[in-house]
Amino acid sequence: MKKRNRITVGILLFVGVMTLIGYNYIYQDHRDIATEDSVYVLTASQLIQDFQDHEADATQKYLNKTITVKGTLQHIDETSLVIEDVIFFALSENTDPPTPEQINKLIQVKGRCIGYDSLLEEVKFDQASIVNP
Amino acid sequence: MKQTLLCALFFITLSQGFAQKYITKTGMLDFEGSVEAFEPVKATHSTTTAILETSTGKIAVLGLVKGFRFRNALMEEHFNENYMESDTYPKATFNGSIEDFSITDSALKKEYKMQGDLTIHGKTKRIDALVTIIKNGDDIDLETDFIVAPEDFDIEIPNLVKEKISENIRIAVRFHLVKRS
Repeated sequence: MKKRNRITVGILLFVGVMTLIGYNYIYQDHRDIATEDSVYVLTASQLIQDFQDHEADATQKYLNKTITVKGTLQHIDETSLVIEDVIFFALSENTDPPTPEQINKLIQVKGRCIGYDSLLEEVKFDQASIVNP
Repeated sequence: MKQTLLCALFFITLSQGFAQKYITKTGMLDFEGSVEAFEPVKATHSTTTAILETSTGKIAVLGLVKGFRFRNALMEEHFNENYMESDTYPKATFNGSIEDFSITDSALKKEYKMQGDLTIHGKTKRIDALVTIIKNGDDIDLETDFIVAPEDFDIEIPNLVKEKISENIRIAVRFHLVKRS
């Protein structure tokens, strides 16, 4: 009787743990770009140069990576910002855009590179946040 | 007289040289391939680029595939790695034109026919759709939706999940286009 109880408890425990592991796998969290370390830290002009020199190589190198870009802030709106007319950042949901006073000033922005926009010749990022120097 | 003519010619050339473009960098694409009774298969893309040339009705759209966001992180991973292969094919594009488009048409809201080439996963397919153009002050709102099938773009859905993903994927488009200064 005692032995059977122990086996039952063992099986239940095993099933429970497997369910938990399975659930955590299927409903795993999204990446949190803001807390990830940047794989590359570089200037806006370096980054755009890489894409314009060889788009395929640059895509392979930077796509889906967390990157911090330094440059002059050129344009802001409610959900996005542009650095030096060549790097576009869609801000992460809970990030406030910089203030208009910061336009034309140096800024550092961290985000996930989603690729090269060949229509407007810009590199695009999403889930971006402002890095305080 | 000659001067006036030259002057007129100059301005005509000038206005043609500056074809008017309306653009967005934050266009919305909604992707939906859900099957009833299963977990919704849908994603939103909010960083689509689109350029509408109002003199010709030509339209170019580019969506970077990594920009599609799913609520379920694992679904997003599978979408990128197994189906869209976004490391190899990072872009989805549409190049087309809106038939008889006229920016000077007085109607605030008008439906047009649009056709063009949709390229996904490295494969191109011709798309015909109705598009609604709404004049929103100085800006233009463009809305359309159409159905695509994964097999048209050589995207294979494994048998194991076939019943959970619809054979008809609906793509809904909403662009707020602003005149490029």
